[in-house]
Amino acid sequence: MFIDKKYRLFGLVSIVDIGMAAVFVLFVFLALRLSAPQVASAKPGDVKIKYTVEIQKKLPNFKESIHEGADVYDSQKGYLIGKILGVSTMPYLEDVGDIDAEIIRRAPIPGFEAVYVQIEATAQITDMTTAVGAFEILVGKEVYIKNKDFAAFGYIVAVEKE
Amino acid sequence: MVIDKQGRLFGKLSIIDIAVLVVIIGLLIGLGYRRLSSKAAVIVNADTKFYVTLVVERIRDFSLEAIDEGDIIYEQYAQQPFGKIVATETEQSKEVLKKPDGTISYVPMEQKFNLYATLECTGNVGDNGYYVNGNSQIAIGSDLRIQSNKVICTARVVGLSLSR
Repeated sequence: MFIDKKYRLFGLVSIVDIGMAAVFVLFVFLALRLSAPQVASAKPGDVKIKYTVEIQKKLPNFKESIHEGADVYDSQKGYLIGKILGVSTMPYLEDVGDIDAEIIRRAPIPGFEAVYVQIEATAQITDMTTAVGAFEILVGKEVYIKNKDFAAFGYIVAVEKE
Repeated sequence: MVIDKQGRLFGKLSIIDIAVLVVIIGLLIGLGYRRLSSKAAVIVNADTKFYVTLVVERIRDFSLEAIDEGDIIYEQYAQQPFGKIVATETEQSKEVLKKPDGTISYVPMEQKFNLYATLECTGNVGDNGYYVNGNSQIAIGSDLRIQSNKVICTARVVGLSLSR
């Protein structure tokens, strides 16, 4: 008989063990099929873009860890998201109430900088999004970026097509 | 006895094997449910044009510059467009300022803006409300995470009408 009294197929392998093996194979297949690529490879229609990430409230020596020409990655998924073109800084500003003038001012905080990292990448632009592989490049998006020299949290503040 | 000395239910099938089978069946049901329910239902005859006014508050100039009339707007993670921006209006943001004498003023904020965007949408309008993309209801006060191919932000619905 196909399945014996001990639920073994042809008396050899338990049907539960066969089921477990089948599920394992399915999971491996799904993991390979659905996992995002680590490197965004160029596809037809890819567009060269430059985008700028603003990193707030850093000490003046932080920018020295960011090197032009270095690759930069998404910290959360490890995607390669471009190459650093340049770094600039501005005084770090916070909202402060000016009671006499009755206005909320953007005032510089001594000792801190806002660091702007300009990154070049090859992206796909659709009606819905601009993305480097699975990493969306949109103004206002929170991003965690890193390479071997630095890691930081910031916002994308500019995107332009080359 | 229900479970014998070797851990088999009614002496036939190991309870460990039964537990594994239950987990496998549960996972397959879960995967199947996700697969089959991944597409949003589309309501037939959802072709009523209406206008939604959104406000995006306290944005800086770089976000303002990335939002233009004619932009196609999506709700985050939605596959279908939400609407198209047909008009925009900007004002300076304001914030509450507390004074030492205990009074409060509502004062302008430097470099912060509120953007009002009117979107032309297509959906279903009835007694139950306004709907886009099938079963996504839009109501005044709804907070939406919206994006175009240039910008992503959080907006609140402040107006709904059948005419502009």
